[in-house]
Amino acid sequence: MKRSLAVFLVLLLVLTAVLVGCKKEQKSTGPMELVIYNGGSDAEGQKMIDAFTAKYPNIKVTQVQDKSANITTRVLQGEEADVVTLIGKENLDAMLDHLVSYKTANDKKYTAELKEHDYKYYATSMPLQVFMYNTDMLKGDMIPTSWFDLSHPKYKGLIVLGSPSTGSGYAQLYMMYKLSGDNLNLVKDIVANKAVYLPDSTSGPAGVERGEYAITITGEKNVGQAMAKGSPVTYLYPKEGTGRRIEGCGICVNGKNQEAAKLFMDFITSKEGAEVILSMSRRSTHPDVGGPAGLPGLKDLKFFPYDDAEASKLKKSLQAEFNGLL
Amino acid sequence: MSRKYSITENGAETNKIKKFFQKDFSQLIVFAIPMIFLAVFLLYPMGITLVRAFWTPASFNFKFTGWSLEGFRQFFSTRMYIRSLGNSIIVSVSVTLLCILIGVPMGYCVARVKIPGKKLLVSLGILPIIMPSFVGAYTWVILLGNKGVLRVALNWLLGPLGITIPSIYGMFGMILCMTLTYFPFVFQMSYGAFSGANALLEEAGMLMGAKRGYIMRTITLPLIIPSLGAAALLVFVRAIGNFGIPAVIGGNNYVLPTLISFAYQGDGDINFASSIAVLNVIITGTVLFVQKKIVAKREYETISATHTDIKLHDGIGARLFASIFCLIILVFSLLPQVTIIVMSFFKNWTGLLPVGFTLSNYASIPKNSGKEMFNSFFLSITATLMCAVFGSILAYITERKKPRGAALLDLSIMAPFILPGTVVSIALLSAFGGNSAFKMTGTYAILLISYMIRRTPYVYRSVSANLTQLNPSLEEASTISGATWFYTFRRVSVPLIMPAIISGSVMTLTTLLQELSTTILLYGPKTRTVPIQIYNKVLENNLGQASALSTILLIVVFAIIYGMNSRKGSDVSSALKM
Repeated sequence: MKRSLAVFLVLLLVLTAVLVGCKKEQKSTGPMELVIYNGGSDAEGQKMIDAFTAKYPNIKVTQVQDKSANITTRVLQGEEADVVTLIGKENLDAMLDHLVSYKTANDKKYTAELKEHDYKYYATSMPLQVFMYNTDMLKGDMIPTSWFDLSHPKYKGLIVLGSPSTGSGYAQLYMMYKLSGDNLNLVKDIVANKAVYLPDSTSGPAGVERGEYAITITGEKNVGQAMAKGSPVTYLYPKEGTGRRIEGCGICVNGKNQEAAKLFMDFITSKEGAEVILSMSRRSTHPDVGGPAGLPGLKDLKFFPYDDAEASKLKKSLQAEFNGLL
Repeated sequence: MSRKYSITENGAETNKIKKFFQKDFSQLIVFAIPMIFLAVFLLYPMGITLVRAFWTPASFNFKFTGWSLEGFRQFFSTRMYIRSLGNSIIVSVSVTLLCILIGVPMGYCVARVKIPGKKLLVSLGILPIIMPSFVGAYTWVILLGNKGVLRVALNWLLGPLGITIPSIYGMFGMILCMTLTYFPFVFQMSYGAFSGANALLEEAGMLMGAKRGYIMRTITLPLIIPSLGAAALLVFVRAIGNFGIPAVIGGNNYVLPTLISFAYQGDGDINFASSIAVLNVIITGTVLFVQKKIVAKREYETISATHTDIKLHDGIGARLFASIFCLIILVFSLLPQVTIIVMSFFKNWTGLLPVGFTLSNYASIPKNSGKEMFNSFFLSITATLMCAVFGSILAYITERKKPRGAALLDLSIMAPFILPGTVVSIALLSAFGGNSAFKMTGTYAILLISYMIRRTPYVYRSVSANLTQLNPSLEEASTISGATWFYTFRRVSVPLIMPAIISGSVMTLTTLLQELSTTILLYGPKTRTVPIQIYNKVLENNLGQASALSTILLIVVFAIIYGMNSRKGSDVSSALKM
């Protein structure tokens, strides 16, 4: 009986020790640590961390990498993120109450459209949506030039897109809605063309790289990264242009390391930081930095209006209308 | 007189108190801890999910939004949702039937036909289910996609005969891939049942002159029905909960987990995600009910004092057929594993063949994944030990003590087993996320707890199945001789049920090392694991490094399983019983 009680107590002790140990783990964040919640890829997060710690070796940086929407959820739920990085504007706007105003040292370099008016976030890059096609599969007059080409029967079964339930998939849906004159006629034709809408926005570009599909619409960085690897793909800026969207970084209310977070914001909005963004094949918004290697400069690109406010407002109804088509 | 009376009363009082303290409460306390644990970490989160399903859907809003059936109305008024529901049902029913069609004959062949390398067959035969479905799905594209190496090769071979292999994308591909992934459940369980069934019954039939087919129909098959029912349920649950395969090769044929991901990851809408989760649970619940109905009528217990070896078929025809059949199935189902091992030595595999032979995928592991390796092993081993203790105590309570409400206890322990991983994770997230009273995200504790909740059923099932077959007379003898319940439990019951604890723990450990769906929602900066890293590498299209990490996990898992199968008395199938 005594022995049994002893065994039980040991068990209880182990359990408490584990729980307490984990609690401690959570509290032990020192002053010079930094936790990044990164909406970009794991490798992209690592690039930012490496460059930042090269400059500030006394700051220990860790990252949580997840989809933009998941990071938004995590921040809204009160997780102790210090900064969020590479998060689309619509998600930054959704977590506005959880972001801290901070005017970075490089504020002057960023025009009004590249920052939140209360300095809650800065746009470090633009996730511009362009066409990406497999050069082994599409040649000569099979290469599309316009958004409306996608409805042509010759592309039947060759198109892969991200579902409008994903961030970039919805941005594309909204752009097509505007291009067809505030309706989904173009989208209807593309759906009729047996286009595949995948539940995540990264599998599409990977499929075009492999030659499983011939064409997709995706962020410039996916095209740049695939081309850098030597995959048989290339970009195409449709003749109507594309919508100007932004993504960026901000400091979170719940973070424990506000000072380190400010240093990071200063760093990532600097020219040095912009070059890190550029090295990911992302289009930096910093005026002193050019377009990603192998891609045209910002000045040579054509844009059509992209109204974030309207896009957010119409999101539910456009998604619902699209769901009725599929 | 009155004084005396009062003394007696006082005496009685002290006696009562004394008795109260003398009473052995250890049993009560040991039982209470798992109960409290279940209530806090399982019933509470599941309750919240159920409640949320009836809140008005809202993006990024975790506060009360008002009661409504809007989530369900939205679901049933949208074509895409209804079609996805249909797809889910078609896929999971077909996969279940096909798995039975492949798994039962294979189980019979390995158990009843004299073929070489059985231990290896059984150990290898469980590997297909132990792989993150996302990684598995990508390897199927590499093999059978439009530019898949296997498809191109087969078309080249079969082309002259006028046969072309269709593309993998769509319903057919999903069903094929899931069948090849999940048939091991049926194979392992029917192998266990065929080799464990009492041979005397069949021999008796034979002696009385019954033909083989008749014995098969009237004795052998009925004996394995309970195991088969359990395996079929497992396959159904896994198939209906699979996100990776439909996401990668389903094309526009969405399924319920796709919709949950749309609602939760696309819109940050936990309420709508919960509504879909509840629909998912209703379907699984219905299937569970039907399965119980079918099996309950056929619950047999074979009791025997002597053990006779089952006579194996040793005709050359039977041996040849069985060997070839098992080999074909095994080779096909292990193709993803082979692909991963090959790919781990190359930079990438984006075309027909892999390019750029390299060892750097492995060389970079200590630097890039040291912490993740530690986390994965630390979390999986700790959680497994805790599952082993909790699972066996819980099984002991429900089986031997049979407390009031044992059925309810049984159901709640098994609930995470029949619920898709995302549903359990979302429940845990909404209960223990940042805004809640118990904020635990980012800690080791929340991962350990969620692992325990999801995996305790393995040990629990394994042990309670063992206990039902164990005559309590040994334990009674110990108790009569004056041993406390705990002494009896420790010295008599535990040694007897040890093989069951081990096989349950092995299933727990091997599946935890590959756990993705719960971890991805709950991990923090300090608690990243290897599967998270693999998933990120896959999304970055960095298949070489993802494969190297997967290969290491694969080897560890195989070593553990092979080691266990070499022990006498333990077998994996007992951990899968429902």
